[in-house]
Amino acid sequence: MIEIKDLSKVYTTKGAQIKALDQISLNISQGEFIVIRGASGSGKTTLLLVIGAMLKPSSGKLLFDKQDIYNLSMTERNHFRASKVGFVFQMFHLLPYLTLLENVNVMSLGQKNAEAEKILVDLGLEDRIHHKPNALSAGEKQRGAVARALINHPKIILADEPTGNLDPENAEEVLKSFIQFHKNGGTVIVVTHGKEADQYADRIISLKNGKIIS
Amino acid sequence: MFQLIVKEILSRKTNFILALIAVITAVAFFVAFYTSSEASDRETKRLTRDMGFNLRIIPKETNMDNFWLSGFSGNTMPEEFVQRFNNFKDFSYAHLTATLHQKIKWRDMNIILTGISPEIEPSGKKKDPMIFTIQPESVYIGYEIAKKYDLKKGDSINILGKQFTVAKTLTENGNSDDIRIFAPLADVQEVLHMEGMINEIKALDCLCLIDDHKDAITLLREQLDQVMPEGKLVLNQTIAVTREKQRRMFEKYFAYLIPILILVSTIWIGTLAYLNVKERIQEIGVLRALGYGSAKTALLFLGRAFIMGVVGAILGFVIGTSFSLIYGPDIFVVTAKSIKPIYSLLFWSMLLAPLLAIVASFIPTMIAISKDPAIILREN
Repeated sequence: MIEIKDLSKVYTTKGAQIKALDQISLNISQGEFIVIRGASGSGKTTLLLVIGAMLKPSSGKLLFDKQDIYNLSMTERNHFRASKVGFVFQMFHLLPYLTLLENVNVMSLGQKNAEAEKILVDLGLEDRIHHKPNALSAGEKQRGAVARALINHPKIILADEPTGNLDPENAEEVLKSFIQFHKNGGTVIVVTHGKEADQYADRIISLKNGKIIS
Repeated sequence: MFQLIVKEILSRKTNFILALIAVITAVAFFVAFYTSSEASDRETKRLTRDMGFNLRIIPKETNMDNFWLSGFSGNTMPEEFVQRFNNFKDFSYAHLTATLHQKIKWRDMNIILTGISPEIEPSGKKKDPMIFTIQPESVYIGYEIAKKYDLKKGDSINILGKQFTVAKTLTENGNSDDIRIFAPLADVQEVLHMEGMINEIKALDCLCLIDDHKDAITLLREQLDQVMPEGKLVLNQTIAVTREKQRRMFEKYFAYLIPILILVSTIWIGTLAYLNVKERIQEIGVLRALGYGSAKTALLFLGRAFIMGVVGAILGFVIGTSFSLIYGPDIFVVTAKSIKPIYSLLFWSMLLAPLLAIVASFIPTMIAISKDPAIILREN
């Protein structure tokens, strides 16, 4: 499904060049549950953003279903992200002025309400559907963010420290939602410091200084 | 998209309201100023019109020494000359009145007998007459004459063998009108045995038809030559200059104030739009990650500016118009009743205010869409 070959990403900050990813090669199959682990600055988030068609690599190739996504136009890449990728962030990033239902449905506000409601109910948020983020707990917010990632039936979920701000109980709830997606054939890549997700992972990849070390 | 914009506006009311105030202020000032300038223009026209006719057309052969000494031309011309102006619609002459003046001895007083015809309006526009219309066999009596002979309305008097009724006695004017008797032109022609003759056409210049950079008297004389080469034009510069200065003064204020107002409002809206972008930087990153393209992201901000412009235009029009309607009558007393809402300004406001808001928000919007979403998300 995803083929990464000799992929590097170099950032230039204040004249200095920082190699965030260094000659990474990796294959990810459809339906895999992958945990990427590493210390801060090891390149985990950069790798996630590159896979999510958000960050063009400095060199190397990334094929998604045999297609080089960085050869697509900006509009095509936006469409690719909207239809095939679901992002979940550590800080949830729900829009504060929308209800949970509207946040899930943000790409097509008012059009997929029934489906959005069903996902929220499945995630145990039936009582919170019309609440705004400031009225939700951290766990509820993150499950809302997962619902937003699921609404467009993506092929892959990319989660950056999804349990980093959650207590163990809520972290477990969020991971369960990923497992459910995984069981239905979806691919999950979780970037994390912790080990909560290890038990569900098909593969654990460790990064250090932008390189895969195991 | 529209729902998203509206919901964001409702959630960040302070920023929106502050920017909206800038639009409302700009539009309200524009509307109030324009409505007032219209009122001022009317007021100036009325006030300067009340100063009297500023154009006098006399026979070409008039001896100017005698003209200025006696106050009118000693020569005459056919009355029908005045009708020629009817054929020239775009001329700068308005309120044309044929007159015949003659010094006579009445009782034991030297007076001026003046015959006046009803006004004609070459522009074809219906205008309030500047001069009174006197009924046949009636007269208006100048202040000094009425005082000396204790004449009152309704008295019957004889002028050169013809009986007239005093229709009005005039208040003190401080000029030769105080020793003047006004009567219908035909009656004066009859008693003076000068049927069909006049010695002056009085008129008012219509400044609206004169280009700002063209010398008014040159244009007026060129036009008179076309209509009535037998005539000579005398312009009362004091009245003409006052009219012109009054009219142009307001236009100058308008020309200076409005650009300043627009510039200040643009900077104000732009600054608030930038603050809005800064506050929403994470949101931009997330929306881009979810698949929002640059154009769609830009629409979020420009759509917000558009809504701000439309709402600001409506409220600004209402406030500006209300201001003019409430305070205008106290300022423009003479034309108070004619101060009315100018609805075409609503159309222009609704066209220009959103444009102003969009232009002001353009740079912050460009900043928003040029931010690399990956960097935003990585930094968060």
